Formats: sequence, C-alpha cells, structure tokens
Amino acid sequence: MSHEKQHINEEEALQEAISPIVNRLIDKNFENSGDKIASQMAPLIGGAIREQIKSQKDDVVDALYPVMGNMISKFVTKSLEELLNKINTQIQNGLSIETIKRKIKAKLKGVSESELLIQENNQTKIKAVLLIHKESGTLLSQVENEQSQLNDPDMLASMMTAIRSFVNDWASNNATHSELGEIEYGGNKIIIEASGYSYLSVITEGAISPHIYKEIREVLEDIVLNYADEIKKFNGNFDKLPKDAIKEKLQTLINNETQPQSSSKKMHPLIFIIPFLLIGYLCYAFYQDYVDYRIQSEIYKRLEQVPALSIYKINIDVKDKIATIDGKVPFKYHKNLLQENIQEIQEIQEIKNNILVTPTLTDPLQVSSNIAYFLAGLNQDKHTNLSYSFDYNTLTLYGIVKNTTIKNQILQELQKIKGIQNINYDNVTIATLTIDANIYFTKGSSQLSAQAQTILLDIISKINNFNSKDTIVLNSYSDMIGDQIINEKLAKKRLKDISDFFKDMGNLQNKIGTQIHFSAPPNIDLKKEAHKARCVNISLKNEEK
Amino acid sequence: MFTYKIVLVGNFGVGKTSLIKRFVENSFSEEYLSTIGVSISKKTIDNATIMIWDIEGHTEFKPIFKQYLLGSKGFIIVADLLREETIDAIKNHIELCHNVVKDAPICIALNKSDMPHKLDEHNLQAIKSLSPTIIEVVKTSAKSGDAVENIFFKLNQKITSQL
Repeated sequence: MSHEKQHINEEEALQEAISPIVNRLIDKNFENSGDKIASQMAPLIGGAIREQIKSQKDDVVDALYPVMGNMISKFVTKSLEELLNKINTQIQNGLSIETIKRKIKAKLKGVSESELLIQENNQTKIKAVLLIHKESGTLLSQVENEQSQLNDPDMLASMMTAIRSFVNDWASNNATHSELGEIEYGGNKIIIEASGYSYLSVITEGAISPHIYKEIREVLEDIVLNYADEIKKFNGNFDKLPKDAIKEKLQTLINNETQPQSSSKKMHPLIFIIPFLLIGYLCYAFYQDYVDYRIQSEIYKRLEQVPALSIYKINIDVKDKIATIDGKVPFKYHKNLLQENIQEIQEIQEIKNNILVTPTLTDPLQVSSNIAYFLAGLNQDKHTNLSYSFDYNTLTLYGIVKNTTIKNQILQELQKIKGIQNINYDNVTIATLTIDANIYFTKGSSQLSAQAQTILLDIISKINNFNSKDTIVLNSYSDMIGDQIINEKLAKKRLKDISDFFKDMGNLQNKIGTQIHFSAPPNIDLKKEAHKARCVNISLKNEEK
Repeated sequence: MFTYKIVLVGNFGVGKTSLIKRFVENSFSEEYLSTIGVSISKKTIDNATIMIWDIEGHTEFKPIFKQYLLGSKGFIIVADLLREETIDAIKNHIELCHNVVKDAPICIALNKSDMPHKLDEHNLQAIKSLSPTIIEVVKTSAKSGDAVENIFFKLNQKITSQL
C-alpha cells in the first residue's frame, strides 16, 4: 500500500514539475509552426463538427446563428439588390413597346406588373453554346455571350462528355434507354441536345421557356442536316470542318436572345408615342370640327330668328372657334346687329366681321321715285315747277325755279340722293317776277290808303321772295282835273311816298324809276272812271333784258 | 489545328495520374490519390491540343468504363514495373482499347523505372509484339520525369500523321 501511495505522490510531483515546461513548449510550438498545426488539425475539424452536431445540435446552432444569419441575410440582400437593379433599369427604360405590352398583359392576366417584371427578369439568357463531338468530347464549335465568357471550354466539353457518358450508361443499365437532358447548377442550366455524332450544350441562365428548347433543336437539326458528314468524319483536324458556317448557325441562338432586346432599346421610346399622338390629334381634330360645326349651326339659327338679317346672304365659317362672317348688308346697323347676335354665343373666341356695308339704293326705279318724291315737294311752291328725266345715273331737270338761291339749294339736296352721279341743270330757268299793280288816290290827296299799303307790302314781299334785282318802275297818272302844276306836285309827292314806303318798309335795294304822265292810264275813260285815273302803276323792269 | 482525345488505361495505382501530372504540369507528388471517375487534362503540343483523359484504374471488382474510351485517337497503356499482374493485364487492355476504337495507336508505359526492377529488353520486345498497333514500349518514371514527354510526343506524332 505505502508503495502505491508513494508512486502517486511521485507522479503528482512530476506533473507539477513538468507541466509549466510542457505548457511553454506547446505555446512555442503554436507560435513557430502554426501552419503545420492548422494543416494537421484541418481534417479533424469536419469530423469534430459532425460529432458535435450529432450530440449537441442546439449548441452548434446557437454558436453559428450570428454568423449564418448574417451570411444568409447578406446573400438574400445581395440577390434582391440585383433583382431590384434589374427591375429599376427596366422601369428607367421607361416607355417602350415592351412596357406597353407588359401593361396590357398585366391587365389581361389580372396579375401585377411587378410580377410580370420579375418573370421577365427571370427570362432565359443563353450564356454559351457548345457543339461537341459526341464520342471524343472534342469541342467542335462554340459561341459565347459577350458578358459571360467561358473558362476553358475545351475542358468543359470533355467533362460534359464524360458526365454524359457516365449518366447515359448508368441510365441505360437501370431503366429504359434515356439520355441526360439537363444539368442544373445555381441559377444556371446546361441543356443537352444530342444528335448522332454530336450534341449541343447550351448554358443558360434563368427560367427556360419551351421555345428555347425548340430553337436549340432547330439549330442542331440545321447543323446535322448540313454538316452531318463532316462531323461524322471529324478526327481532330479542324481544317476539314466548316467551322465558320457552324459557328454562324450557333450564333443565331445567342442573337435570337439578344437582338430583339437590343433593337428595342435602340429605338427611342418617344417613337412609340407617335401613334397615340396621331390618334389623339385625330380625335382632337374631329372634336374641334364638331364644335365648330355646332357653333356654325347655332349662328345660322340665330340669324334666321332676326328678321332684319334673315333676308341677307351671309356666309359663316367657323374654324378653331373663330367665326369669320362674310356678306353684304345695306347699313352699318345690320352689321352691328349681326355682331351683337353672334357675340351672345359664349363658345366663340373671336369674331372676324368681314361684312361689307353696301348701299343697295342704286336701283334706278328707286332713285327715280326718290327724285319724283323730292320734286313733288318742291313743286308745292307756286313759283317752282320742275320736272325731270333720269337715265340711270344722270338726272336732267326741266322747269322753273324762283331764284338762284333756291336753285342751288335744290342742287345740294338732289346730290344727297344716292344713285345720282350727274345733274343736268341747263333746262332749268329762273322764274321772273311780274308786277302790275295800281295804287289809287283820293282826289287831291297823296295819302296812301290802307288798301294801297297792303298792296305795297305785298309787292315788297314778292320782291323779297324772288330776291329780284329788277328796277321798280313807277308811273304816275292823273285824272286831269285841276291845275296841272298842282297835279304835278301831287304826282311827285305820290311817287316819293311810294318810293319811301318801299325803302322804309321793305328796305328794298332795287332801283326805282319814276315817270309822271299828264294823262289818264291807257284804257281808262276819264269821264266814266275818273277815280281810276288818279293812280300810280307799279311794275318791274329787268335792266339786263 | 488539331484537337483530339487520348486515354490512359491501366490497373489502379500504376501511375497514370502521375504521368499526366508530370507531362502537363511537370510536377510529381509521392501521395497516392485514387482517381474516381475521370479526370481530364489539356496539353498543347505544336498545333495540336490534346485532351488527356485519366480514368479510374482497373481493379478486380471494377472493370474499366468503356464509354470513356470512345472517340479516343490513341491510348497510353500504363503498367507498374514492380507489379507483375499490371504487366500481365496489358494484353487485356489492348483488347479493350481495340474493341472500342479499332486500330488506334498505342504506347505502352512501364512506369516507376526509378525503382529497381527485373524487366529486360527481351520482355519489352515481348510486350511490343502483342499488337502491331503498338508504337512504342518505354520504361518511364513520373517521379524523375524519365521518358515521360517522349511517350506523349511519340503518340502525338503518330496521331497527327494520321489525321
């Protein structure tokens, strides 16, 4: 027993003594050869983690949670960001035929536009197309999308062939004859389409629509149809293979994918607006036309309701709510009436009133009747007697007027009648005033009786009225009773009184000629009519004549 | 321009992968990593691109996968100088190759020549006489690089002359 105890004590003592040294050694070892330790530890870590998960799953989850959570969220964020960017670009591309198509499609399908956008973004993008010799795995031809260049396509072709061989062999052993059609990795897919001596490997990204398969098949068929023999005999020598022609055919797959998009991008989005603008413009034009037509009808309707205007021919043309009115009316009154009526229509923006005011009284019958009417008025005066003839625009007057003043007045008035251009006056004469009046006196008296004064005033009035410049001739007659000297005095007195009367009462400027006759007036019988012999005869004498 | 495929055939562990590694990368590793399925390397000589298929070695339980041999323009059959059964298997390998690709040129690499071995010139002739399609029977060493390039060049020469 004591031996055993001693052994334990020694062991403990040894541990105490060595452990600091060992710790130092380990530390030193870690410092100096960390890489070596890491490489030695590496294979163990996988196993250790597996073991830990098996026994303490929750611990591992807790430990990794912060890291994994961040990692996943980072990945998701990144993916969403990319998707968002794509969608943003699509939206920024703005109005294109694609956008319009999408909008219509969204309405028809009853799904949101964003959903369609996401779908669109998931659309197939062909990254590369490889034509591979089926047996040897030699890459016969290849085309790549510019944005996704393949790394070592020769190797890929060989590996694809190996994988394909393996799968096909395995499948044919396990089931009915079937071939590897697709390989998927990440968001990518390799579509394999095989023919007798070659196959196509198409590396795609995103969702694949059935038409892509169709296109791939068509291209392969095309190649096989044209170059089956060359491919069959291909032994590694590319000089014997129509490489360019094949490449061209493969290129169609990538072109089909990219061309429609690029071409639509090249077109300015505004181009797509043109048809809409055109339709819009046509609609607008039709509407405007309709509005104009309505305004025009409204104007005509109103004009018909105004009797003063309805008789005239008036043209109304409405364009862009601007009414242009043409026509002829006799008076400004009609023009204004028209303007007032049209202004009441609120829809009209502007009125171009081109109405001409043209007097319509140029009808010769009308003019003639006007003249007749005027002359009839004038002929009311007993000293005026005018007649006329009217030859469309020349008026010829005949007859007598009282004096020159009246003549001029008539001329002025006649010129006011529209439709008369010339007036021929040659046949109009001025009426001459004839006076033959006797002033009788009582026996031995020179006094002007009331009756005599009345006669004199009448003469004054006539002379004034005619504006006559004729000389007033006074002839004094005698009854031959009494002394001749007295009679002469009496005669002189009588002549003077009458002359004075004319001057004082009539303010006449006419010359007055007097003559004293020592006899009775002619045709007076002194014995029977002595009272008619005591008189002064008054007459007018035209000096010019 | 040529591009063609050759396949290295042989029992497991004879050094097929090492030979390719020496030829393509000019490197060698003592570590043994068994090839699973197939591994493909590319090497360009002059105007020819050679796709070198390194396939899983033949074992008692797992025969060589014929599909991998399809379309090959030539074969390098590899044997281990130190393991007699691998040399004996050459005959079967030649048959297999010709089954798949009739009259394909074959080079035979007897590997690990850096190690002491008993095989003499007489034995080499015996192997060569196995098939008229055999161009060359060479002792190689992936470790030292001895005759490795030579064997690939010889095969390339033969193949390109036929294309």
